[in-house]
Amino acid sequence: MPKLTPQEYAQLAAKRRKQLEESLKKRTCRFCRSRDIYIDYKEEKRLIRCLSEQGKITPKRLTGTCAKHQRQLVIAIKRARYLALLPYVSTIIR
Amino acid sequence: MNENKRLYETTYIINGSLEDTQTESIISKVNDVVVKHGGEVLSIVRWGRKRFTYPIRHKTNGYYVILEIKANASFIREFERFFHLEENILRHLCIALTKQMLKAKELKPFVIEPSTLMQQEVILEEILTTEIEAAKEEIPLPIRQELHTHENELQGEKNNA
Repeated sequence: MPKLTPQEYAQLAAKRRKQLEESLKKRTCRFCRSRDIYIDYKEEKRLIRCLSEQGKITPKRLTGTCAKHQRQLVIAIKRARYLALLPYVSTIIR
Repeated sequence: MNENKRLYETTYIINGSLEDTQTESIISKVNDVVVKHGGEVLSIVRWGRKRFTYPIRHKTNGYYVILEIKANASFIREFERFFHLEENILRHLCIALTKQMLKAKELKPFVIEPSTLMQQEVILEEILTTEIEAAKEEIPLPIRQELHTHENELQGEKNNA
């Protein structure tokens, strides 16, 4: 183990403490974190992360999004599917 | 008649196998229809040729266009009727812009990266797919049967020995 100066040791300890706090906190909605008022159906690269491998919409108990944003997400995904920006069913994407 | 003007956003998809001049003529036709029925085109965004995630009318790519329109409420029915009659427009989607959406657009304007799928790539893809399908159909059956019988003979010899 390399020997650390007292400053480096203090920094490391602070970092570890922060990581512990974050892991014990409940998962927050990623749209609330970025303060989105409206989820656009044209942002396909962002929306594709909210689909499963089969192309299904993942439920909010797995992703941690809040109910308000989940409703907006679902509308955006369904519009994007109609315009062939996202698939209805897929095993290829991801 | 002073009716309240509303803001609409429409995206529509043009057939991707048309040439650039033909797509431009369709876009200008749509703009003329908007003006004819008392609307105003605020902005046009040509998203470009993109690949579909599933085939629409047996086609794999299309040219996307996004319009922002200011018009009365009675404008939409005639506008959508035009889209249904036009053959080269594959899909269309009209949305009314709410106050929430306008606020969000001001705070975070959505930047569209124009896609770079060129027409030559499109043509090559179509040629390759048709060639592959033709090659699959042309494999004659007797060759397959001969291979099968040869393998069976070898197995028969091994079993006997």
